[in-house]
Amino acid sequence: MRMETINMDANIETSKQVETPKITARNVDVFYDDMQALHDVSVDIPDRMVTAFIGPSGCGKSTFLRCINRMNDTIPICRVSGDIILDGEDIYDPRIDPVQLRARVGMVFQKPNPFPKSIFDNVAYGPSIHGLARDKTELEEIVEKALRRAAIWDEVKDRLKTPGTGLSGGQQQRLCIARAIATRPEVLLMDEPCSALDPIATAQIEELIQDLSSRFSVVIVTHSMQQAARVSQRTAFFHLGHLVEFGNTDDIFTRPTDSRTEAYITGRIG
Amino acid sequence: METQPTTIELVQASLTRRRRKERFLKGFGLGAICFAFMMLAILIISLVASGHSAFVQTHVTFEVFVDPEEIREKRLPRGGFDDALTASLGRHLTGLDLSDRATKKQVEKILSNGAQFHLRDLVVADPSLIGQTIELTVPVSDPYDQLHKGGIDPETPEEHRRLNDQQIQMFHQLVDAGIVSKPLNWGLIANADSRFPELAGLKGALIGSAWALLVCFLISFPLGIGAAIYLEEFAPKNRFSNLIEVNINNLAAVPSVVFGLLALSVFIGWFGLPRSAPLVGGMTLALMTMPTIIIATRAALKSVPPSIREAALGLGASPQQTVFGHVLPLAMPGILTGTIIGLAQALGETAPLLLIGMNAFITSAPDGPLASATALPTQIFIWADSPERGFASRTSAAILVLLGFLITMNAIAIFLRNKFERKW
Amino acid sequence: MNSEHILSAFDSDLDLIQSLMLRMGGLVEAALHDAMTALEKGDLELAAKVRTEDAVIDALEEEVRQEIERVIALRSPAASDLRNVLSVLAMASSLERCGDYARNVAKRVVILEEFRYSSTLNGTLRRMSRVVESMLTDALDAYVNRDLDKAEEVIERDLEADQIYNSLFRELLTHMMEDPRTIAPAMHLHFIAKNIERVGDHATGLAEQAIYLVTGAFPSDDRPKQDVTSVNLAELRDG
Repeated sequence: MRMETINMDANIETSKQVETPKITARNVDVFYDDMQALHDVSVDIPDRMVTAFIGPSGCGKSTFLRCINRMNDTIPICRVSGDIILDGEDIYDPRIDPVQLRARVGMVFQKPNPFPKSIFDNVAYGPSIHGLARDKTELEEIVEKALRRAAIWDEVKDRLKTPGTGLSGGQQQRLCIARAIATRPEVLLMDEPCSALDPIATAQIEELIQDLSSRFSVVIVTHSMQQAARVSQRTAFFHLGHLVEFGNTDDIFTRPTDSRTEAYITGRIG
Repeated sequence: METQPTTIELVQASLTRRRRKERFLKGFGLGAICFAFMMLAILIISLVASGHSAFVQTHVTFEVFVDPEEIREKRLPRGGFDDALTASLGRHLTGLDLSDRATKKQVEKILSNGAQFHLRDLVVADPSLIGQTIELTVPVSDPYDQLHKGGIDPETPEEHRRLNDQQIQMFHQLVDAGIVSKPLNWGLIANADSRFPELAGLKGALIGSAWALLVCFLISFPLGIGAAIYLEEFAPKNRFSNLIEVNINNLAAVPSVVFGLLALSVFIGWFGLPRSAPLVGGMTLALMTMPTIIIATRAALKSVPPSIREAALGLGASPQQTVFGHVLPLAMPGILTGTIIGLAQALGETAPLLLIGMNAFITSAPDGPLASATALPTQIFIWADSPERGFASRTSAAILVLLGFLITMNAIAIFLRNKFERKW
Repeated sequence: MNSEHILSAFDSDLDLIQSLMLRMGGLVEAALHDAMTALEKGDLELAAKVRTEDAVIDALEEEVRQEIERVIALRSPAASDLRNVLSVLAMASSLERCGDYARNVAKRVVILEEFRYSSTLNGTLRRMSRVVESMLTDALDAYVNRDLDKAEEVIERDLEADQIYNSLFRELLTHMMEDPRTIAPAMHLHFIAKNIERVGDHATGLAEQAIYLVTGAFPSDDRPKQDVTSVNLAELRDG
């Protein structure tokens, strides 16, 4: 019996141009004290596409995601080594201010977490603190645009002053997405954004993700393989802190090269 | 073959035992609460029983002829005001010879010593009153006040009583004349301390306590919150910060009298601040309240869900913006509750204030935080020591006033906590 | 073998589908063998049995299709599981066609009996049918054991089957030209030969499915096709 390896480049996408990658990671290691959470991760994340990170629990996909906007800086015992380059700049360079970085790299979290303020104030918060609006009218425009892009404007336009926490789960998550895109980021990171939502809300957000990916690079961590298959054009499979395989989503789900990827996708390992 | 007992059967068997235990526990808890309430009831009842009489004060209302012989405009503020009062009061008393000095003295002693000063103040304000007849309501002196409130037992032998039969008889004449009244004792709040119980009030103590609490709040609130924010949000988690945390918890347990000694030697001895000043009292109370505020603030900050912090940081807020713009407002209800409880504790603290001298006898209200003053608990301490009968009831009344403030402050704390709870 | 899905029901579903398909394979092999035996021995009863048993094969194909529909809907198979399911679907369809071919052979046995046409060709025909039967068996084995070498070997054996068919065709042509009275039975024999050759092609298809299952791609289409009858009639006439 012999196993043949498959040439991964068999199916190059014709619908999207393959440009220079938006984010390049090289030899990234992450340590929590003495425990190594990520081993030598190198990956190129393309621009204006959706890249999905999949893998079993504890495999490091969320950890890697949080490296991209330096949210791991908030954890004192976390150490990151290696290079992560966004548009040619190393984001871990000491001259780079993480506060500024996070205006360019937005994040949406697993559980919707709108501020206990009004819907308007929620969306306006990012632009306000970064000084992106010159006056009140401009701020209102930014908020409206963000809410429209997040496909929630029609539902909230008459109650912008009501608290954001009064919306349903799916609406809250779309509000959080609007809040994240209000600063017009170049990259949007999403950490299991639909795991707390019902199927209809999930589908709405997946549709929204497709839409958003025409403007920025979206990286989504998901524990649902079917979601990764539905939503992404590129998929990275993580296992025990290693990046096992990265490629076109079609290929990963029909002809994965690594047996671990195959085992995970067919439900043989969890 | 015997079958295994089913789950239901096993549960049934244990049910009676469990129910009995539950009833016992419930009864025990209820009993404990009842006991606590009973103790509280005893306290309140005894306070009210002894203090209720202090809330009213016997007054005499009569026409006073401002005798120009006794009181001359040129000589104001000096003048025979007491004589004028005695003469006018004597008109309501029959069978008395006011020319007799002893008798005159006795009649004079019916009225409070402050009555003459009250008349003086009126005349000084409006000298045209000289020669006129005005109606005056003045408090009676303490023995007569006690008499009217039933505090003097006519059965006891005359030598052991504060008032002899003749004095009692004189007073009864006044009562029959219908000029004696017992209105509410506003003086308890409006007057400063005095040697005479009928004139003694809590004004000085209230103002002194207010100043002290204000100073305490102004020092401990920002410092306490600032320290808590630093320890909770910004300090690196190492052994040094653990040491600080342990020390703060210990500070909260230090006996308050130690703080008084500290204040005495450092604030008064070393810094040279004036004794009995509410400023020093406030600073001492601040030292005591700060650990409470720090602990309460830290708990409130910890209870803010980390998702809010993450959301703010993810949008590019600096750690400072995150804390002050998001975490602190959400933690504020908890912080306020802790602060109010801390302040309520400070209001009732006696030992440190005694040590810095706020138990001085001061007859005027302080005009600033640096003037000598008493505080509410120390005032109670002073009155409790006084021998006059009138002070006994006033002490209880003052305790009730203090308790009233404490209950109000705690009620505000509970109200605030309920109102702002769980807004996220 | 399907093994170690976390969801054991998934494993049993895939096992069921495969075993249904293998049962079909067994029935088809038997049908072909019986049809050829009936031809040799003139056993009309056996021929009738083959014809009725074809219904079982058709029913099995329907069952396989329904099970696969269910697995796709409920299990969302991916990668190797997906190839597994798709290949079984294709193979069941192929096997059902093979069953039809065996039934057609059995039908012609009846007709041929009326002609009492004995032919030396029966030996050749028997040889061809044995090759094809072995191809079927080996293709299914290769599938079950995921044996790439065996599968490729089956594909190459089709060459042999085609060559036998070619020589059969030539012989029949010769017979028909010599004695026009033999045209009718010869035609029927030819159709039988064609049916067997088609079964051989399907067996090749089964082997290709085995390769697809293992590697994810079908072998390139330039497999040896030696059925030149469609192109080289001139050559044949000259014999």
